[in-house]
Amino acid sequence: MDDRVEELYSYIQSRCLWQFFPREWDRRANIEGILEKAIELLTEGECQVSETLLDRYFYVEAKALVIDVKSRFPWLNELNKAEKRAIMEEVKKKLMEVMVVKSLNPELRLSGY
Amino acid sequence: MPFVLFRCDEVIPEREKHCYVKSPGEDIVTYLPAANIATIPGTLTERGCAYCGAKLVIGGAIKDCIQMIHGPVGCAYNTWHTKRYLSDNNDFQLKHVCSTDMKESHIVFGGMDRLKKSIKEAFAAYPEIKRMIVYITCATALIGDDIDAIAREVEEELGDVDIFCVKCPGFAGVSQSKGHHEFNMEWMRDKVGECEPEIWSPYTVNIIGEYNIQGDGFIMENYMKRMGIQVIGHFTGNGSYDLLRGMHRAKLNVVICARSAGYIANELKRRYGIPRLDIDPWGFDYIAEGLRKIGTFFGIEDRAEKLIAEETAKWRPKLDWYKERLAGKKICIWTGGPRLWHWVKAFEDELGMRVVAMSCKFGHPDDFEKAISRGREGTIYIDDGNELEFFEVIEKVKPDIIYTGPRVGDLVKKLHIPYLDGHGEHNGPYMGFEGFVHMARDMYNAIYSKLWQLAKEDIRRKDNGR
Ligand code: SF4
Repeated sequence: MDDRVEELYSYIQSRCLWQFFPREWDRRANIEGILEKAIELLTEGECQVSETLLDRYFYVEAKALVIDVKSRFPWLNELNKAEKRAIMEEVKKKLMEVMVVKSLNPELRLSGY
Repeated sequence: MPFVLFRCDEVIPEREKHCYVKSPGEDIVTYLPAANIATIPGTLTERGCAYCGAKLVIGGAIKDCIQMIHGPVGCAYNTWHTKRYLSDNNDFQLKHVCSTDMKESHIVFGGMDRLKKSIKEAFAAYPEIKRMIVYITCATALIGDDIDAIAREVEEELGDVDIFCVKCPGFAGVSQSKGHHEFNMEWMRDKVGECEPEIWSPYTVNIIGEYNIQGDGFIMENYMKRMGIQVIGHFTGNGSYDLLRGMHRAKLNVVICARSAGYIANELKRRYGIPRLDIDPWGFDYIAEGLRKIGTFFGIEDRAEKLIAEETAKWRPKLDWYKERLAGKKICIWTGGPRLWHWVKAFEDELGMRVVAMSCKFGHPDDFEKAISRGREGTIYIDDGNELEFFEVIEKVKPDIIYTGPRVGDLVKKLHIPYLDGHGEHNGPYMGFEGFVHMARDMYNAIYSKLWQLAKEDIRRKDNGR
């Protein structure tokens, strides 16, 4: 499982701009919001989208990510729902750790934009 | 490998923390070059001043307002006519710039009267233009000229004009990046929300951080039009002063240059709840992804797919021809900041090239987070590179081509290495499907040009130096 988490994490890190938003709170919101929806899409095939524009944005990024990783990592399609969720939760944890908790970027914690 | 100290930097060892080579197993929590900090005295920086970032990059691209530089004429001259941002207003913004032409006596006795006279003269000289941006510069900031007070006086006297004041003198920050920041924040504070744009589509966006270099923005606007999407504020390429005052009415912010204009997108999100969607518009794969996301946001995926199919059919064969000839070539990207991470994967994945060194002038730590995450192991990453470092990098990586600005470009040309203008986009536009083919064509023409052989010949010698 570790290798697969690493594979997905590395791909997301080199591809997705949403994880690099400038401040800690943006990064947390994007990683949480987008990966939550991606997990739902991967496991249920659909996800809840509220009326707000921001929620719609999370859905847009999640949908693009899911289509992309399903085609790049065919092994993902062979996992059951619980396995998919477990792997994606680990990916989320790793992203949060690298992009927020252990980030060496001193501007992440500035108080404004 | 940790940070590296170049031979030329032995006398300024502080440079070490700005230069990094990525080794196996390292990532952005192992090493991250220092960035967006003051240039070390002794290093020959390629950076520009903070005022330059506000005027040359952001404000200067707006097509329908007068640019008034309150300072010595050099500040205006240095930021005039050196950018290739086009507009559909007969390129007014490229051709014209005004200066208060401050001299020593004005510095001694104050420049506010002179500013007022200049503003009125400029409005009289361009009677069809009713909008103006006034920039303060080092000298006028130091003597404390109150440009806002003068602007409000003139607005009241003339009645039908609107003036935006940018208070970001050259010394306000460590590089042009500070000017981008100030312009964004001041525009948001003073101007956004002042105008109500006419809405003709249920699908509305702002295009943010796109400066219509060589017509890049025309390509993006064309894509939006074909999908039935209305662009309200184009911040700021081919941008209209009044439409940019109506940016709060868009449903989505499509961000391209996150470095120079991410700030306004963040503020629009914070204040108006408009989401920020960052896209990479260079490379087929990336632009297709960006268009798909915009299509999904508005529930018009079919339109995005149609556009992508049409463009791919038209341009893919051409790109493939260049790809065959560019695969394996080594390239350096030494530009401002974001082009490092925007371009690296597109060059590597879509053209088969190898990006061996990346350097930025005014990047922040998040630009390096992105560049290092996307870049390969063994690649050299430099913040605020100086020209002696560039010589050492060239010696080490022996690139086939370098994307950089004219300053460094002229140096590398003398070493007989092909250079392309990474800011002005040579024979661009470079964005979108069509643009990426132009980019590949420029690289092909540069690398395979016979000129490089001819340039090596010394015509003073009988055997031409062979
Ligand atoms: S550093 Fe100051 S004086 Fe020089 S161009 Fe910039 S604003 Fe003008």
